[in-house]
Parts: sequence; structure tokens; C-alpha cells
Amino acid sequence: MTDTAIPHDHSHGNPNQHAGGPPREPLSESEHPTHHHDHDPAHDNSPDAVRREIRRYLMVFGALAVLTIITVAISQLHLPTHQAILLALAVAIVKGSLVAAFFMHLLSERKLIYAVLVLTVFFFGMMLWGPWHHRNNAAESWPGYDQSSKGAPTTSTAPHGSTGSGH
Amino acid sequence: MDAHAHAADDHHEIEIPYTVHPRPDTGVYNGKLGIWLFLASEVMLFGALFSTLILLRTSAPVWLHGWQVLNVPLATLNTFILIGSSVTVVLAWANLRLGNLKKGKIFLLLTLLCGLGFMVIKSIEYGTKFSHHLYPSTNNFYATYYVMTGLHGLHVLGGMVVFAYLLLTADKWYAEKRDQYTNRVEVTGLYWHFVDLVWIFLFPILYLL
Repeated sequence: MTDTAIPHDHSHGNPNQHAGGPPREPLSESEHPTHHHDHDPAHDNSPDAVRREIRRYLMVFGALAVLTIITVAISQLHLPTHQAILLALAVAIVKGSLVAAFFMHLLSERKLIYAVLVLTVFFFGMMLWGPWHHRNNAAESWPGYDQSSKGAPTTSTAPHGSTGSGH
Repeated sequence: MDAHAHAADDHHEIEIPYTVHPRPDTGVYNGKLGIWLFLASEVMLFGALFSTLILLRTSAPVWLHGWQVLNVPLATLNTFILIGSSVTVVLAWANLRLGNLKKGKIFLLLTLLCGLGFMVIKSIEYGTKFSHHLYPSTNNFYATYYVMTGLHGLHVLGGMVVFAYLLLTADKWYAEKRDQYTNRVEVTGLYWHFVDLVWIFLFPILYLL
């Protein structure tokens, strides 16, 4: 799906373009990776396909580097905690998705792997939801629990962004 | 006794199934399914710590800001190193698939060196904190910081051991069982990307918020 998005010019000056062998002909547009089923159906071992992958890996590296700079830059703004957490997590999720989709090649993996991951994500989500749920419940039923909302025991919904990080 | 000795004699003849070709019912070779199941358990291991962090942080009246007390430039450098090592390990795998063992080994070595660099920087950070008498027992912030980065660091170390093993056995394995060796590099890479992924979340959560 990303093949068409990669301009051929991009490979010029790229030292890894010809990694692993003599220079090859330009990639043929009609080449479809899914037509090869030599070993693992998820991967095409033809040299052209592997070289396309290498270019893609380097582009993902560039994107990850830029996003790292962005997330550090955002943190320098010292935004309110709520916004800072949301932005930092958003960038981290994008970065993590890039790693999972391209480096861990989840874009073209088998159904069984997806099934394993769906279960994992579900239970992981439960584990993160647990403390949130507990905290909001505790704040409602036990006013003294939420020490950060200064003297507002009647607040029914806790402003979770401002909790725990007050000065 | 006899049976045991017999099995030992025949050891080199035992073919482990589905190390290269996908198993028909799972669609993947066994090593790949194995590493993904392992990573699923790893998600739960780190998930428990993230869950703990949420509970501690949202309940705490005061929580330190990572950017005020931790070394953000060093951690940013470590982020680049780890992302770079994710690229070198997929490049190693790609070159092995292209039949270029030499380049594959170079990229494996680069990955190992990135892991080493990460650990050196991490130990500098720890050393500075220790010299200021900041320990896991200091407060909940440092407790979670040390536990989470410490567990992550152990994973980096574990990956380095496997990469060292893959480098040392590369010539023999690649000559005898090229596809199996290439798959070994792939699944080790999957583990390594997971370690990278964990850091991608640890870095902003601990250092930047």
C-alpha cells in the first residue's frame, strides 16, 4: 500500500539503495510482492521487493526521528498537564504504530498473529482502565482521597488531567 | 540408558519442523508464533507497571516532573540510538534475505553496538542519580522510574546477548541453514522492536511529563 507513495527519486544518494549486491535495474511498477510465496507468505524475498522494503525502513526511521524531535519540543512548551499528556501520548502512539506496522511488519501478517494481538490489547486495556476506574470511583465516594482537588469534595467527576501533578 | 544414548547419536538428524516453512494451520513458522506469544506476555509484564504508574501518579498529591529532575538530552539521544538500532536490525534481516551475509553481520554488529551505547548512557544517568543519593526508595517517582527503566534495560541487555550469539554463529548457521538463520534474525528483530516500542512510551511518560 505504501509502494506507490514512495517516489523513485528518493533513492538517489541513498547509500543503502544497493545494499547487498550489484546495482539493479529500476524497480518495475508492476511487481506485486504478494505474488511470491517462497517461504513465508508474509514476505517476498525477491531482491527488488527487499530493496523497496529497505527504502521504506529508512523513511520510517526519518519519520520516527522527526516525531522524537516534535515530542521533545512539545515538552519544552510546558503546557498544562492535561494537554501535555494527551499530546505526548498521541505522538507516542503514532511512533509506536509506525514501529509495529513497518518494522514488525504487522501490515502484512497472518490472521493468527492478529488474533493474539487483539487479545493482548484487550487485556492490556483492562489493566490500564483498572486504575482509572478505581481512582474516579474513589474520588466520588471518598472525598479525602483526591488530595489534589483542593477542598472540593463534592466534585463528582474528577478532572483527571490536573490530578497528581499539582505543584 | 540405551534409548538415551541412541537419541543423542541421532541428535543431528532430528529435523525440527516448521523452522522455515509456515505451518499450514497457523500460517507462520513456529518461531514467529512463539515470539509473538512471548511478546504478548511481555506486554502484560510492562502493562502491569504502566498500570501501577497510573495508579500512583493519579493518586499522588505531588508528582515530580521528569523534565525537571531527569536528563532529557541524554534520554533523547538514547531514543535516537534505540530507533536507529531498530533500523539496523531490519537492514540486517533484509541483507540476509538478499544473500549478503557480510552486510547482514555488519548491521547486526551495529545493532549490538547501539544496545551497548544505550546501556552506557543509561548507566551514566543512573550513576548521576545515585551520586545525588536518589534511589528507588527516595519516592514513588524514582521507584517507578528505576523499576521501569531498569526492567527495560534488562531487556536491552538480553537482546544484546542474543545479537552476540547470532553474530558468533552467523557463518556456520548461514552456510548450513540459511533460511532458518534468517528467520532467527527476524524473530530477534521482532523482540528488539518491542523493546524499542516500550522505550517510545517510557521516554515521554517518565522524562517529558
